[in-house]
Amino acid sequence: MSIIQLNNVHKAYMNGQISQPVLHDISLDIDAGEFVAIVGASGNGKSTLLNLLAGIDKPSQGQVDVCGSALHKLTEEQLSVWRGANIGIVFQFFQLLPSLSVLQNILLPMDFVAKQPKRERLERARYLLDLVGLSDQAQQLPSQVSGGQQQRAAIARALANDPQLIVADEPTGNLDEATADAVFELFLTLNQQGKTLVMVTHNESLAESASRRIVLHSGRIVDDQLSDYVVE
Amino acid sequence: MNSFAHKIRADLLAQKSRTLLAIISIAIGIFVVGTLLGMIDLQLSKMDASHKLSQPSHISLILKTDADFAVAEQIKTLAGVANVDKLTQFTVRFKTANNPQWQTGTAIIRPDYRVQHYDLMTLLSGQFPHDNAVAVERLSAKAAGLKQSDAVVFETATGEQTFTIDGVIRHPFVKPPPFGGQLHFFIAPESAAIFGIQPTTFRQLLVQVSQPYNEEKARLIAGDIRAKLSALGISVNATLLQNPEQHWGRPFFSGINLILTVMAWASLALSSVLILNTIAALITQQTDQIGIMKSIGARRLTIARLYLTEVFIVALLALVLAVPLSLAAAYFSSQWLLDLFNIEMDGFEYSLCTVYLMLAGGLLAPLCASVYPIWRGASMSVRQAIASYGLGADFGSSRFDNWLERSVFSALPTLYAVTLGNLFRRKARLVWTQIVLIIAGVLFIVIIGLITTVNLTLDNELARSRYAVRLGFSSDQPSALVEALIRTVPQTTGLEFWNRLPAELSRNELLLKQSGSLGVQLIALPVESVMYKPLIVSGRWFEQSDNEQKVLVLNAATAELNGIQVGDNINVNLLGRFNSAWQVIGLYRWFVGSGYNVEPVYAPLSTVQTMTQRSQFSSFALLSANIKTEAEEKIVADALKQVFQNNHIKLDFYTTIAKLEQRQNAKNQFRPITSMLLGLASLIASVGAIGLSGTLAIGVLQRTREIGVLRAIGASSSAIFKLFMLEGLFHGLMAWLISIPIAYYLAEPLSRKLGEIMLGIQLDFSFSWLAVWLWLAIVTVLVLLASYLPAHHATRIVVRDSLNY
Repeated sequence: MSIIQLNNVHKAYMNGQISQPVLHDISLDIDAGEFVAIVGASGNGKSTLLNLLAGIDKPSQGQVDVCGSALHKLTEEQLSVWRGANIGIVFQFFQLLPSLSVLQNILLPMDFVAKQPKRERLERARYLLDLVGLSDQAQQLPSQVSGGQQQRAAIARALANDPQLIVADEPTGNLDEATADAVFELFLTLNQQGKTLVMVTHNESLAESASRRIVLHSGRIVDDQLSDYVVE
Repeated sequence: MNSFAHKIRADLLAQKSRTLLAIISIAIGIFVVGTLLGMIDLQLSKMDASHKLSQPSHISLILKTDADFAVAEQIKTLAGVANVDKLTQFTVRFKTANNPQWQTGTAIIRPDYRVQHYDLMTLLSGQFPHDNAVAVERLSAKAAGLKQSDAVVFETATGEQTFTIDGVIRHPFVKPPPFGGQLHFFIAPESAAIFGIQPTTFRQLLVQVSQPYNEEKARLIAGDIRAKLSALGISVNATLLQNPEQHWGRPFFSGINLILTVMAWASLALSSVLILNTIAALITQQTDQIGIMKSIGARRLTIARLYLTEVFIVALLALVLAVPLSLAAAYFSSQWLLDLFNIEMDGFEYSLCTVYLMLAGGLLAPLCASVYPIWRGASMSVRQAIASYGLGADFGSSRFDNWLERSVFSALPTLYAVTLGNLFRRKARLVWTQIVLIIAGVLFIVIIGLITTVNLTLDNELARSRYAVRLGFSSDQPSALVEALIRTVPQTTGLEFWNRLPAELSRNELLLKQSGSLGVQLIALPVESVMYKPLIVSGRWFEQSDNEQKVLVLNAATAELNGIQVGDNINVNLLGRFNSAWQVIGLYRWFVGSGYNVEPVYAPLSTVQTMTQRSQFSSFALLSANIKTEAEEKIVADALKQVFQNNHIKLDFYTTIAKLEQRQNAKNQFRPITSMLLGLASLIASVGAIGLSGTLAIGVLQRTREIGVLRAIGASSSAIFKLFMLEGLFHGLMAWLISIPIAYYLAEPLSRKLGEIMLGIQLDFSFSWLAVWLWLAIVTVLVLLASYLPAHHATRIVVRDSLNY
C-alpha cells in the first residue's frame, strides 16, 4: 500500500524575475515499510524532493499525497500539525535544542502533539532513549554528548510520536564512518520494525544498503530500483 | 556607489524592523535628553529673565497697619536704600456672573500704575484700573473664566458696588488658584476710599538696596528699616528678601532639575544599552559574512569601520527623528511649567545648547556602545566566523547552565524549559535587558513611593493639626468678641486663641539667618494647646511648667543654619520694643519648607501676654468642629467668614485656613512634580519595553532556524507564539522580582533625599507595596505588548526558509 504518492510534481524557485526549475515531472510511489535512499550529486533536487515529502515545501505543480493527506492543499499551520502526527524528521546537523537535555528534546514533540497522555510520554521517551542506546545520557545537554549520540537523540526525537514515516536529510553527513554505520544500523532496525524510511544521502554504499535506491539528476528521476539487500 | 556603500545599504535595508528598532532605541534616549535638558534650560532662563524684568524688590515689608506715604519717603532716606515703592493689598469679597456666591479675593492698589518702580505688574491687555473699572490678574482670569468687560460686584465700605473689568495684568508673585491662591483684582487709587482705604496710605513697602546687591547687606538694611518703622510705631508682619538675579521659584526647580538631568542622561545610557544589544545581534547574525570578508582580505579595522558607519547612519536618522520632537516637547512642557509661575512664553523657543548636547550625545553614545561588539566581531578569526552551523552550542558550556538544566529545567514541562533555556542562552543580552527593565521598575516603585511618602507626610502633619478651621485676623481682635461670634456657628466644638507677633531673632548681636524667605514671626500659643503640636526633632514641646517662662521652640532648619542647639539662648525682639534672652527648649520640623513663607517660632502665650500686657486680644482663633468632608468644611468656613464680615472684622486670607482645603491645596502643589516624575517613569518604562521588544525580535531572528526545527517536529503556531510570549513574560517577572529588594532598600534614602532637594523637608517615609503590585501589572502589560510583535513574527516563519537560514 502506498504511503507516498507524487503525481507529476514540478518545483521551481524564483530567482529575482527568473524561474529556476529544480524538479521536473516527478511521479513516485513509495509503499509502507520501504527504506528508500535518494541519491544524486549536489544541486540535483534531492533535498527539495525530501522537503516536499515532509511538507516542508510545496510543489509548484502536481500532487503530493503522504500518509493519506494531500500536502499540496494544506496550509503552513496544518502542515505543522500533520508533521507532528505523521512523520519524524532527522536533520544533517541534528538540530537538537541546546538548552534542553537529551530526554527533554525527545519529550518536546510529544508535548507539541499531545497524542499520548502526559504520564506515558516520559515512559516513551525513556524507551526511545533505550532503543537508540542513550539511556545513560538522558540528562546530558546536547553540547555534552558526541555527534553520533546527538544524531541518535535526533532519531529518537523523530520517533517520539510513533510516526509511520521517517525522513532523513543527510543523517550521516556530519559523522565519521564508524558512527555513520552505527546510525545506519539503527535505521535498518527501525525499518525492520515496520517504519517507512526515506533518506537523502551522498554515501553510495549506505544507499545501496537501503531497500530502494532512487537517483536524481537535473531534477528528474533517472534511476529507481530495488537494491540487492531486498533481493537477497 | 562602491561595494562598502552597497553593503551598508543592504545591511540597513535587509532587516528594516531591526534598523527601525535601532533608530527608535537611540531616538528615545535623545528625545528624553533633549526634552528634559531643553525644558530645564528654557524654564530657568525664562524664569530669571522674567524675574529681572519685573524689577524685583530686594526687600518687601508687609506692615501690620496702614502707613502714610510720608513714611515711605523717610525710609527712602535711610543709608543703603536706593529707592522704595509701595502698594496696598487687602482681602475683598466679590461675586461674578459666573459665580454669584460671595467669594474672597485679594485686591491690590498701587499709587500710580504707570509709574511702578519695583515688582512691576504688567498690563497684558486693556487698561490699568481707572474710575469704576478694575483689572484682573492673568491667572485669576484664566481660573475664573473672567474677561474684559465682565462685571464684578465688590463688597465695599459703602455696600455692594459693581465694577467692570477693563484690563488683564500680570502679577509676578501670585500663587496659582489651583494651589490655593485667591483671585486677584487691581483697583484704581481713586477708588481706594470706596474700600475704606485712605488713598495716601500703603500696606506693603518695596525696597531696593544700593548696588552692588548682596543678601547680607539686604538683611542688615531690612533690620534698619524695621527699626525705623518700629520707631514710627509701625509693626512689620513679614519681611521678604529676594535675590534680584534669580527667580524665587528657582530653588524649587534646581532640586528637581538635578533629578531630571540625572534621569535624562540615564535614559540615554539605557538607550545605548539597547544599541549595544542590537549591534551585538547584528554581528552575531553576520558572523558568516565577517568570515567571508576576512577570507577575501578585509582587515579588522576595515570591518570595524564598516559597521561603525552603519551605527553612525542609524544615529543620524535617530537625531533627525528625535531632535524636532524633543524641541517641541521641551517648548510645550516649559510653557506648562512656566504658566504655573505666571510666565508666558512669547513664541516658539528652543535651547541651542541642548541641540548641541543632543547632537553630541546622540552620535557619541551609540558609537561608544557599539565599539566593543563591533571590535570583538571584527577580531574573530576566519575559522571561528565560518564554522557556525546547526542550532549552535550557546548553552551548556558553563556550570551555571548545567545547574539550571539539572535543577530547574528538568523539573519543568518542556515548553517552559525551552522558554527558560532561551532566556539564559545569551547571558550578556539577558543582563542588559534586565538592567533596563530593573532600572525602570526601581524608578517606578521609588517614584510612586515618593508620592505615597509625600501624602503620608501631609497626612501626618495634618493629623498634628487638630483644628478644623484657623481664623487669622488682619489686626488683633478682642478674644471675647471673637468667641461670641464663633459660638454662633453651631458646629463648633472647641476653641483656642493664639497670638502672632513680628519678631527679630539674633545671637551675639547678629540677626539669625532664616530658612523661611518671608522672615520670622512669633506664634504664642497655650502650653496645653490641643489644636496643634509640630513634630519635635530635638528637645521637647511645651509643658505646664513653661507658663510665664521665656522659652521657645525653633525651626530645626534655622537652628542648623545658625549653629543653634537645644538649651542655647537667643535674643528675641518683639514688636521692636521687648528685647530679651529666650531659651531654645526644642526644635521642630517645618513642613512648609524654604519657599515663600513666614517661618514660625513658638512661645508660651502666657509669657507673651504678660510681656506685652495684651491678654484680651488674639491674632488667631482655632476651632474644632464636627466636620468630615470638604463640603461640610466649606459650609462652616463660609458661615464663619460671613459672621466676621457682618461684624466688620477683616480676616487675613493667608493665615485663615480650612484644614481639608489646605490638604487639597498642598496636594495640588505637589501635583506638577509628581506628574513630571510619573511621566519620566513612564518614559523609562517605555525604554524598557522597547529594549525587551528588541531583545525578543533579535531572538526571533537568531533562532529562525530553531523555529523551523520546532515547526518541523510538529510545533503549531500557537505553541511558537506561546514560547515567545512566555519568554517576554519571564523577562518581565524576573526584572520585577529583582527590582523589589533594590527598590525596597533604595526607596527610603532616595525619597528622603528627593524630599530634601525638591521640597526642602524631611519626609515621613512609607514603602509603597501598592507600587510593587502596580509595577507588576504594568510590566506584565508592557512585556506582553513588547512580546506580541516578535512572537507573531515567529509564527509567520516558513519552515523551508528558516531551515535554509
